[in-house]
Amino acid sequence: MKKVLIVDDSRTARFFLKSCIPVEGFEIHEAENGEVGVARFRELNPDLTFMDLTMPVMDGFDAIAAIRREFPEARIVVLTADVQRQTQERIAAAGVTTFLQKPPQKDAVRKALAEFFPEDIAL
Amino acid sequence: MTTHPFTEMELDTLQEIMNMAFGTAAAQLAEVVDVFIQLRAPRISIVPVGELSTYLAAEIPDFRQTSVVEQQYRGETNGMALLLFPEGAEKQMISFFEVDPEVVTTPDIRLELEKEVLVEIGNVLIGATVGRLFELLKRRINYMPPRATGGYAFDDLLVRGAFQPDDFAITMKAEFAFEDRQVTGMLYLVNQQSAAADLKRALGEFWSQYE
Repeated sequence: MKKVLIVDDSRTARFFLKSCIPVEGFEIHEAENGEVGVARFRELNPDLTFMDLTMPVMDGFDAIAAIRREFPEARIVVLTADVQRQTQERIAAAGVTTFLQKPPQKDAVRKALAEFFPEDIAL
Repeated sequence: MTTHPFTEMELDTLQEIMNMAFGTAAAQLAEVVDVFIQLRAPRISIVPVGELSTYLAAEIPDFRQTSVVEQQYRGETNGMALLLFPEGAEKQMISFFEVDPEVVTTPDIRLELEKEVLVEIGNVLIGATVGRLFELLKRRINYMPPRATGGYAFDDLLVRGAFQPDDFAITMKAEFAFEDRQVTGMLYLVNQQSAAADLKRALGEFWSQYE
């Protein structure tokens, strides 16, 4: 069972993303902001993290940096409504190679999962 | 306590969709003014039109002095979008555009240009936010031209939009900051009560994609 952590301040957004992830083979955990996300990451060491960027308490960029400091190999996908060119450049600079625009689309999420778990996801 | 026709889940969904829509709008504006726009998580609430002035007065100090861009929309949902900037924001925002100093020969011309900048920025932010919002909700709307005015004219604006006290405003406090200057904007969508049923239906349809 692969562990997936979803970090997003919106309960609805977490639900939308969860519904795009296949039930079989994935155990989904949630966090409501970056600070909780970092704590949950330490506790779970998930196989993949979906990270929102615009969140209260601690935003996604700070959370990614905090996670990467302790877990340099952490696999992170950014899922955000902020589609500015500069934001995409910052995402790349943070070492995140996969970026999805909100709202999540089932095909795009499956494609992202297949990138990290090719043996588990058939496209 | 404020009563409105939306459930907590519908409001949460609306907030998330507005967040998506505002993200698209900010990206469009960032391309126009060529600066990075920092976004904060928006906060949504529903306020009866009859209480909107009191609500804004509590939310925004000196709101009657704010600069307002107003744009009405018509279609499957009728309403009015209001974008509020603090007084003087247009003076900061005009610097995003190249203005030929030879054109600005009098203070009146400068004021006129500042107003045009406000309308232009409002047009991008309102158009892209409202456009994307209703695109996501699969509802068609058309826009009337945007107009710049001030918070002092707020009550007149609502009257002109022919709203009743029990019509509702979807208020979204969307704070954003341009790269090197702090400008906080707030976007309000005011809708007739008759739009509530269709909006609830549209939110249900949006949800059904994920069930």
